[in-house]
Amino acid sequence: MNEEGKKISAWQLFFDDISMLFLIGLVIPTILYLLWGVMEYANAPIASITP
Amino acid sequence: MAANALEFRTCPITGKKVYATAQNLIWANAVTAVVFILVGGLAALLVLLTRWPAVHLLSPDLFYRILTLHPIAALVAWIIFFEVAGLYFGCTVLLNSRIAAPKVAWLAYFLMLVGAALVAVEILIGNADVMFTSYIPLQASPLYYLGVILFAVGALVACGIFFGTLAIAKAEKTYEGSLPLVTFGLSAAAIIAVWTLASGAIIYIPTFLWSLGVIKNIDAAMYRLIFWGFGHASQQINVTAMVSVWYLLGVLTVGLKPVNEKVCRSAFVLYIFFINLASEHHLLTDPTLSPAHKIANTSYFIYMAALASMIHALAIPMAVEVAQRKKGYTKGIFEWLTKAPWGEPGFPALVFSLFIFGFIGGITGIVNGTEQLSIKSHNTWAMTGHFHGTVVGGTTLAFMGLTYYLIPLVFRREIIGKKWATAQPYIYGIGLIIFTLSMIAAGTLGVPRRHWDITFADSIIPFSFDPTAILLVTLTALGGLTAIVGGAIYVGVAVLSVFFGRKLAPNEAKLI
Amino acid sequence: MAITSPETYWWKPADKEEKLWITIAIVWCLILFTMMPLWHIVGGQNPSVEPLKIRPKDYEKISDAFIEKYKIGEESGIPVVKPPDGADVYLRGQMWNWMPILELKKGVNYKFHISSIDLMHGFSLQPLVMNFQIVPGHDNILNITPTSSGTFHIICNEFCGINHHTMVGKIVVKD
Repeated sequence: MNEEGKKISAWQLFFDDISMLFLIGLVIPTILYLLWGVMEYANAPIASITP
Repeated sequence: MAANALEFRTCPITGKKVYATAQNLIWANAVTAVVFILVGGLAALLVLLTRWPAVHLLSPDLFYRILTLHPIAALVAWIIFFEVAGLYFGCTVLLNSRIAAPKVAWLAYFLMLVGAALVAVEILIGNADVMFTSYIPLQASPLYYLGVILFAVGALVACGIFFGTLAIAKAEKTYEGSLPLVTFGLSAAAIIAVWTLASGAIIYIPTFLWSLGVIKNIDAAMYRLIFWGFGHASQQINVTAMVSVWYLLGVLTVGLKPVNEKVCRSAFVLYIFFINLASEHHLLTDPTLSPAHKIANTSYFIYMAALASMIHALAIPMAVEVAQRKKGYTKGIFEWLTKAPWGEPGFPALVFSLFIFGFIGGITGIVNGTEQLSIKSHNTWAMTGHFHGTVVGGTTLAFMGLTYYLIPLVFRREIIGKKWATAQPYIYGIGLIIFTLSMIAAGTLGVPRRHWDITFADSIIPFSFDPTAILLVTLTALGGLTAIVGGAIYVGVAVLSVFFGRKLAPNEAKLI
Repeated sequence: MAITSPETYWWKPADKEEKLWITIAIVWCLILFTMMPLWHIVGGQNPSVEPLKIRPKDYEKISDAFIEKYKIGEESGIPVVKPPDGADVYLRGQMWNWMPILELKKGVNYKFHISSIDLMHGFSLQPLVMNFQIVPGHDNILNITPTSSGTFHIICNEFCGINHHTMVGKIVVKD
């Protein structure tokens, strides 16, 4: 809200909120890339030695 | 260094406040960056002269050593030091603000400097012939990993200074409303950098302990996953910083005003959210990792970050056109382009950077980054060609163009050798176009990256490439040598101007 | 300008040209994305889909047994192995060769298990230029059917030490 009473778009406020963007920017690749990937490697089966 | 924290001058060109503490920090980081591009460029010359079969200069041990040094100096140190200078510029000068905690910023600088120097020395004395990627189980000395960690911590602290300064500027109301677009873009780069450097810490600290023998085993594939969270994502910092610099160069050369702030900022927000997923590009032909993980990540979540680049690819030329038409260049469809300032270094640097990044680096990146097509290009020279298109033709060339303006604007020195400076982006750009295209073509014929002898003279099982491949390698060498000449001109002009250029009078509004 | 703060209300609709361009870009993004899962169904060449870890020592034992069982000769000190149709094939990357030399039959499907017993290696099949990352501790499982006969070479395209550039392997496909 500014002096003229016209409302600033919520999207504009969201884009100005660097700390919120920062948080989302850290969370998305951490979950989608790092955690998911680490879980796949950790849970992969290990071959037994019977050729 | 001992400047008063509140001492400032007013820029006669932009009317912005330039604080002495910030100016000194920008100076130190930018000058250090140029020193490292000199080291990286010399390493590039040696690598190139060895890969050129007709010359084949270095012995294999020296070749692999210098090949490890080249990206450390040119990809990591040059670019990140310059980016820190750019971040400080974006949060202080562009916002009329003083810098947060200048002493801590100096600490960050020295951490980065000591880290980079340590890594370089360890490589040169032969303690780390492990390539830039240092894939486990290949092992370097503990000091090598320690150097990388120090550098990364320093860079992380510098990002902290950037965010701290944003907070100060906001609290002290040094600007009104939203951040300027360039600073917003640099904020995106800094956010991407934090995730990148955190990934670096997650992987390099255990690896350091492993090199000391404290940790016994690290899974080699897991190392690759997390390493590329650092190694590839740091290139995403470069992309984002480069796009911000494109907008900045547009302002400095033609007075660019974004056509639609919403569109431009949305593209940066898409970068923040999705671009780091592209670390997956390196893992597409790896075992064990599932296709679902590969597809979701390699596509930046349905290509949202590629969409962002497409948006910038329209927004920047469009804004340049609008700015030029406002100046009265309205004849025909293309007068705005033909009458553009081609005779000053910033504009050709912008155009070559946009073109090489988009059409050579970007398109090959998207193609090679699809899951199945990666099989055709993984670890071939096509990859090397791709990322020289993005990071050298794109980022480095944009940063070079910006340097010619930072020197008079921030360091208040006149450029020495303006004709050389103007010719430089053309020489560097054309050299790189020949270099990257030949390299990619050679790669599609199977020429591998990181390889001392593609004639396989010492192999037990004989093998030789199609002669076309050797021809393309030679062309690559010629293009590369041209680019190195351009790089040498850059270093020469930058160093001479910074140290010996005529000092500009306080009110002298002279740009180039 | 892009170096000054924008006007107070900058969240405004995009122009017609901008909207058109963005729409085209989104369609292009969707096509690119869809092609990848689709190729797993309709395409012939995909990276490994079977996750499997294997200890390098175990892998060495299994691949040694494989070589011993199907060995038909030797070439420059490297065993030549001819596995039966449809067999599991073990191709080992090690400093600095690909072990063994394989003799395969055209049109027959083999299940390849490619791994390393020391460092990272890069499987690069020439002249087709098909490349896979070979990681110690992991089994890169690929179903491969040779569709043409002739001699193929495998070079290493991941740095694996001082003699990395001498690492060449061979696959012979017979009719």
